Amino acid sequence: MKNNKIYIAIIFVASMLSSCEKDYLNVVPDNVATIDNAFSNRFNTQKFLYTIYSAIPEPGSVNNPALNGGDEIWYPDSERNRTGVRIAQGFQSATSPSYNLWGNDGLYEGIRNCNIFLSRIDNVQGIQAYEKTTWKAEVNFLKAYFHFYMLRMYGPIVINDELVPVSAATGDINSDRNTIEETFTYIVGLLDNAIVDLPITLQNPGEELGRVTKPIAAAMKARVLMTYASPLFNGNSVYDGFVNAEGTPFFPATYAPEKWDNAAVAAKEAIDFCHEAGMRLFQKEDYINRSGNAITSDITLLKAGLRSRMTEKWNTELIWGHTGSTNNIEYESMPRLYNYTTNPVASRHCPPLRIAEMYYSKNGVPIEEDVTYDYANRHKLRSSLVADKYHVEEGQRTAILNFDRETRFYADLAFDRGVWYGNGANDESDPWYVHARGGEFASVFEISQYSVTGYWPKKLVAIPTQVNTGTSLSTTRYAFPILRLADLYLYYAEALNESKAAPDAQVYEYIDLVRERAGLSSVVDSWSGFSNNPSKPTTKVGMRKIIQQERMIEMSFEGARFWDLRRWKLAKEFMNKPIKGWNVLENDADDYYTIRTLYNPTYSEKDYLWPIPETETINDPSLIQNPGW
Amino acid sequence: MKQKSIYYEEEPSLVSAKERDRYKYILSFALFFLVFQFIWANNTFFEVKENFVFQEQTRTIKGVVTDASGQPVIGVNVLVLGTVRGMQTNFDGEYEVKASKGDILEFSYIGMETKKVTVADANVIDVVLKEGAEALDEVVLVSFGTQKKKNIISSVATVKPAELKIASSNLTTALAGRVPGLISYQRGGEPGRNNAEFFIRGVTTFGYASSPLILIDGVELTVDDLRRLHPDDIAEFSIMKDASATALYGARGANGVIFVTTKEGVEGPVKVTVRMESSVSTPTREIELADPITYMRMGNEAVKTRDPLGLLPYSLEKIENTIAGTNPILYPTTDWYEELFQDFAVSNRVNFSLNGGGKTARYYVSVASNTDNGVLSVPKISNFNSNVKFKQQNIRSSTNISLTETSKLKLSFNVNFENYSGPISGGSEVYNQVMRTNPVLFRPYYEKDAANEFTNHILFGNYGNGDYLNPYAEMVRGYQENVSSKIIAQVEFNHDFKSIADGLNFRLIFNGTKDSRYEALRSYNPYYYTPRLSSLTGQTSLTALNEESGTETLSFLQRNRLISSSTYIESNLSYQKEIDDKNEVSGLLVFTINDRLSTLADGDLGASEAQQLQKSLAYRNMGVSGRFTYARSQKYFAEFSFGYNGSERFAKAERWGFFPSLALGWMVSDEKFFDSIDDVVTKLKIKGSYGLVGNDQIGGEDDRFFYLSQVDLNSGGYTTGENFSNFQSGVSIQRYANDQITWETGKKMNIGFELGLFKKVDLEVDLFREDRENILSNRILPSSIGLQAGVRANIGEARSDGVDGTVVFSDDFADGNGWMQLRGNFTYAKNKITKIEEPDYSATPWLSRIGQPINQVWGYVAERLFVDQAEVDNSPVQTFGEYSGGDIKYRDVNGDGKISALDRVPIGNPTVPEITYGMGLSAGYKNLDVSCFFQGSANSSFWVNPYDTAPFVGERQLIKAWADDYWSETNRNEYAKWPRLSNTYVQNNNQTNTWFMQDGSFLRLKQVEIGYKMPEDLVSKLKMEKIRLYLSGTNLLVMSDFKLWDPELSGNGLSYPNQRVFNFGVNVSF
Repeated sequence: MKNNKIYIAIIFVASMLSSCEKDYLNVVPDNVATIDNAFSNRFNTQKFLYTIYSAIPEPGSVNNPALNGGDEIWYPDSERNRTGVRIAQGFQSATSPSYNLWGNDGLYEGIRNCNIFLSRIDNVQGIQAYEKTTWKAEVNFLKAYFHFYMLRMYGPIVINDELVPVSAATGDINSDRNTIEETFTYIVGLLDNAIVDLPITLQNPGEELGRVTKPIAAAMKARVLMTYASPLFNGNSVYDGFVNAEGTPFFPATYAPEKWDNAAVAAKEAIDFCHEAGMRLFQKEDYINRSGNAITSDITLLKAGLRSRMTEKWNTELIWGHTGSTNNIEYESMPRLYNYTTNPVASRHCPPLRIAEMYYSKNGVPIEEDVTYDYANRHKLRSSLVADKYHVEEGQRTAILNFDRETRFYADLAFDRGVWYGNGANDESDPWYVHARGGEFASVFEISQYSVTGYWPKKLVAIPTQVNTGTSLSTTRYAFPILRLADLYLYYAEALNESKAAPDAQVYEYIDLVRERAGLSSVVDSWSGFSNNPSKPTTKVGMRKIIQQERMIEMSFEGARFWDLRRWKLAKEFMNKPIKGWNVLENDADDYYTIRTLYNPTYSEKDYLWPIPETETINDPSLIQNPGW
Repeated sequence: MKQKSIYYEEEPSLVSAKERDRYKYILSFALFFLVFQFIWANNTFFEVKENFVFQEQTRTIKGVVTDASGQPVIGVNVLVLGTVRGMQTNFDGEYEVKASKGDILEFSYIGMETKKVTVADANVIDVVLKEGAEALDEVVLVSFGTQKKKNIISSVATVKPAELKIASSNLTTALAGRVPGLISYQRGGEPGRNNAEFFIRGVTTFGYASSPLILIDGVELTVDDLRRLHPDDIAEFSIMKDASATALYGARGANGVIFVTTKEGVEGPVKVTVRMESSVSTPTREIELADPITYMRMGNEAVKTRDPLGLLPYSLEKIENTIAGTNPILYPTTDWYEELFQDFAVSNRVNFSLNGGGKTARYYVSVASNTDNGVLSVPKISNFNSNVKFKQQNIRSSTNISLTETSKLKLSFNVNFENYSGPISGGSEVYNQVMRTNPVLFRPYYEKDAANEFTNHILFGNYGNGDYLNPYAEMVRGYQENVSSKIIAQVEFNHDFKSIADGLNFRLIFNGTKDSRYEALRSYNPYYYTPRLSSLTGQTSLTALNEESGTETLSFLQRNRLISSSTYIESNLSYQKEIDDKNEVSGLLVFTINDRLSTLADGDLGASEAQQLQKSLAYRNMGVSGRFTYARSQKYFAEFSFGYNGSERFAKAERWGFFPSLALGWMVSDEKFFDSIDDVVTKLKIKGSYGLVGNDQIGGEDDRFFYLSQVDLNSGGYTTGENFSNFQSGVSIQRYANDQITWETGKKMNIGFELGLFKKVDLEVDLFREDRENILSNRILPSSIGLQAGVRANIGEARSDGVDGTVVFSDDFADGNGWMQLRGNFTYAKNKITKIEEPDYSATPWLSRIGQPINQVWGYVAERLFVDQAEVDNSPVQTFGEYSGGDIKYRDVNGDGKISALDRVPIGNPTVPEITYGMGLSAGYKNLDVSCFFQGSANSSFWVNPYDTAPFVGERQLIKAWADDYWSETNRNEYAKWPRLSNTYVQNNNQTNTWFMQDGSFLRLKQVEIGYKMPEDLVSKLKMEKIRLYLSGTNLLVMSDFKLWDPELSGNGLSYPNQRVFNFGVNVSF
């Protein structure tokens, strides 16, 4: 009988097992997130929109090669392997490309997200029609911007307009590069559509600043067309043999002057939209003094106003700013002003000597042209006089180069014995002074943290940013500019100069606005008054030089020079010259102010275009590599 | 039975006074278990049942089993054939079993010939067993059961537990070279973190998991459970290799199965075995570093040679003062190895087991305790010990209860406690840190000077800003404690359904496992000081570098709170029948389900919510398996097995798979025509099998459900708004859904033979081939379509071929007083990829992985170092970054004038060795026994990682071998060991290339042991049964071309080294 009980028990257990639910292996509950959830309602759809925004390459990132991949910012040797610095040294390679936006985690992922968004948005319930239209326009703009960003880097790219299904067979996927003309046309088409549907200003700036508007799209169109008209892409014979599989050249064979006309029209249209939206150049009167200490001197006020044109968040001339944190760039750019016991600032963004020399004299002309400027002795020393006290510590010696310069020089650069207004010292008569000679506070703190040139990009540090109690940096965040009005004005002047036979008042008008804001006289007056080449503004070539230098000064440290030198086809000229700085390890002033060569960069024709990552050309042998790589 | 109490009143005499307290504790614990089992075993309820079941015609048969010399044989299996009744002989060789007239008693014992005796009228049957080279009726573990060794035609390798006894508390380190078909190596020696890696018949997949399924007492467990097993507790250890052996495990068995059973109780009076070991371990080989002066000189050279304008790190003044040694505080030199590590470490192991029982219940209880110490130098100035200390306690008990004549219940419990304590970042990291520390910048710590007389903390050395790595401070600043416990409870019910059919058995297993772990870290932030020379006083004083960030008090961090729980249920119906003299059949049907749930590891807490959710869901498995065998005349064998198995990971349509296999065998030597050479060829069996087995461990650990897309709705994001206040998180796609994805399938083929010669030599050889299909691999898609995650499909295929074999030669000498045995085994497994999605490599065929081994490495062919810049200018361009004379010159394989990824070719051997072998010799004479064992590995390559060894980069140390032989402008040796110096990474030289490639082959003397058994008269005076003392050494010698470190560590040579161990032990039973 006992046995029977056991049998019954066995049968019971066995039947329990066999009757185990069929779905025993179905362990996944409902409502596990899938892509459908991203478009389930307005809120989630907006999150997806923000996802697309998040793909915008951060302009203020210390890895943005436009900031440090050229000759504008140099680093101590220990930072040699940074993304941008590798490019600056001439170490770009197809095997391990620096700042690779073509491969994984690159911009094509952002573009695909645009395509996903555009294919889904129409089916989302609960979004008003006007909002859908605006959102679509924003996404179309971003899609155009991503394509443009890649175009500027790689030249011909693969246009990715349609959502390719994941399951597509390899043969069904188009991975051929489009020509320059096709790509520019495509981008401009997208932008034109976006401009129509975008609002002139944001409805709710408190919540939305940073989102795309009509002026942004129009200004971007101007930038796109300026790039299209510029020598790199317009009539560049270097790429004659660079053809696709059908033998069609990727680059337009002949120079088309009307591209400059189109650029000028687009720039003017953009300027008009900006004015309509209430934008204007940020003037010294606009400076918002939050310190409580009044500024009495005009010089300090102008300097403060000029610094604020970059670092005052959402200021009147900002067309489009990126909202990424500026903490890092401020940390890297600020010198040590007194004896910190820790390292609250890294202090290693170092503009080379040539950047210091690029700024105009106080008379608004290049120092080498200024007849009143002691150009030959600029590397010698002199003591600061009372008249210099708002720029250089009174009674102290520094290079002649650091005296008698335009206000932007003092607003944008810090140097040994120079004045640092800010960092908590808001009394203009008692500011910080940078002491950078060997053994002084701003000198080598450790091997990776000092200025190797003797200059710092003050422009990138907001005035209220300060080191608290010598230990921690408290930065004031700003929207890092992608587009601002001065930029657009200078585009317009440049495009007009190129499209006209000779410069006229129309050409001078907008560049002079930018100069005026910087406290300088007009181009014509300055050159005729102080330049050893007074007729320079009257010729197209001379005016081109003037506009280029004005752009490089006004747009310094914002990532413009890097791309401008490329589009002007001047990078090879600039980037093969040695990078120099002061002999910053020396204690003695005379030794400090001797010139030291830091590096001899090399730049060749191929460097105008990024290499396509080798992994891509290996994976797809039909993908054509850029020339020289 | 009363004897038992006597043994426990005595203290074990061999325990040293120092350690006695601990053993008292262990003993009393064991006693508690014993008492518990006593009560159970004597429960009258069971007695009643027993009486009820016994039938009248059954009577008790007794007897003594002896060997040819008349000595009683202990532990002989006595079985009444056709029943489950049986027992093992006790210490006097006695047995007692219930049987009826006509029953056949079978006596079997490993190493002896099995004998069958039919019960007649006599109640006493004494038996003499003859020794044999091999016992053909030895029982061998097979999937879900056992089979007679003679009947086995699948490929199963068995290891004697005794062979796994090495001086280590990690069983996995004992496997290399012991088992034919197993490829194994050990890549680190830190106690508690020294698991060896092993693969059965190599690697045949380039998917995620290639390690075998581990089953302990029939239940799937982890490598850590295998590590914890004590050889003393192991009854049998086997490895299942071919389809016929593994097909029953369906979608989990493709990588082979390791199957271990643990000991059970044997009827008889209590038997106590105690083993105690103490061992001393030292690193097998230490890395030699250059002296500090050379370090500084070459450090300067590293800067100058690359950049004549560069800032020199060491002034002439510093170098000269350091040589003079006038002010060792200001001009320090620190031998970090010397400061941080001891020469040796001591470990202790104790294993204690009880075994015995009556007819109704038998028990096996073992308690084991290990303490392994690390070699970190315990700082005297620190008040807590951050040396690595790994303590394990293992309590194992198994009780077999005969409920009725036909029903048995087995309860087993296995409890593991582990306690690791060590430095904050782990012992291995301390080794790594030493490599990254400058020897001339600061001392580990400074004595208090006048200025710091009243500080309460240690004045750790540092430099500059105080953010250099001071490994001493890292080691001393705190400690971590990892506590883990694992509890495994298993109930097994067996019922003999002979009332329905003879040989029909039912078994039900329920297993519950609970695993929990937690880590606590306690640490402070060290205060760093640097000596400064005052120009006023000329005195050196210590200046604090981080007064703000240093702390004196400990902070606490808790992490890796992990709890997992799994359940396994198996029901098993087997049938075994000898139909007549000639025909023997058996059948087996098994149903299993498996369920595991666990909390997420800390590493997963950083993962996206979507991933966390998917990982938090139950892991499940379910299947039905079966095996049907037929044997005719003990000569012809056939076996069909199958697994029908489902896994939760796949879409409904792809969830279930059927894995059949077929095996055939022929015992040639039993044929008539073999009789004439019977003395020469004692055995010849030929066998073959073919079948399918699956592997559902594909993708990665994070890939749970391939049929679902994995989307993170809170990833990245963007900020807008005037005050940067409107942040919206974004959406990222981590996996695209694919409902076609399913497990990989291995088609395994095995042909083998077993050969016995002259009754002394046994040879077994298996030839195998496996074709693995449906390997999950990445599709090759252009980046320009913008996918965020790889797209994968079951598109890969691979094949492996190989041979494994074992040979045993045993002999007696000196009239039976001496014996010797030679064993050797060999495994050769070569694999290649046969199908994988690849770009069009028609122009560069050397890039194709097809036809190349799975673990093949591609790299550049280093020709030599460039002589000078002129040569650089006239050679193909190398595209990895700056390079000059003295850097590595690569071969332009495709001749396009530039060195790019297209010039990478397969270099060297695969990273997993293709050949593993082992050979051992053991011999005994009277009371003395000696054994030694060699283990070897061949056909593998590894790379000295230039990132980890590049001197001066990030203050890295200078390896002496580099200092002795490097390219310099004054000595332009284009074949120097190290290229031109640099203080930054030279990407050109850091590419995977043949310059840093090393041959991974080695042969090592793994184990030597000398044992002495105390003479019997002495032992019996002590009322003991056996006392054996032994001395052993592990990892004594290694022969290899590579001299920098232990080649078994391969590229991992800068971390915690493998250990050489000297061990003294005593084994007592009474």
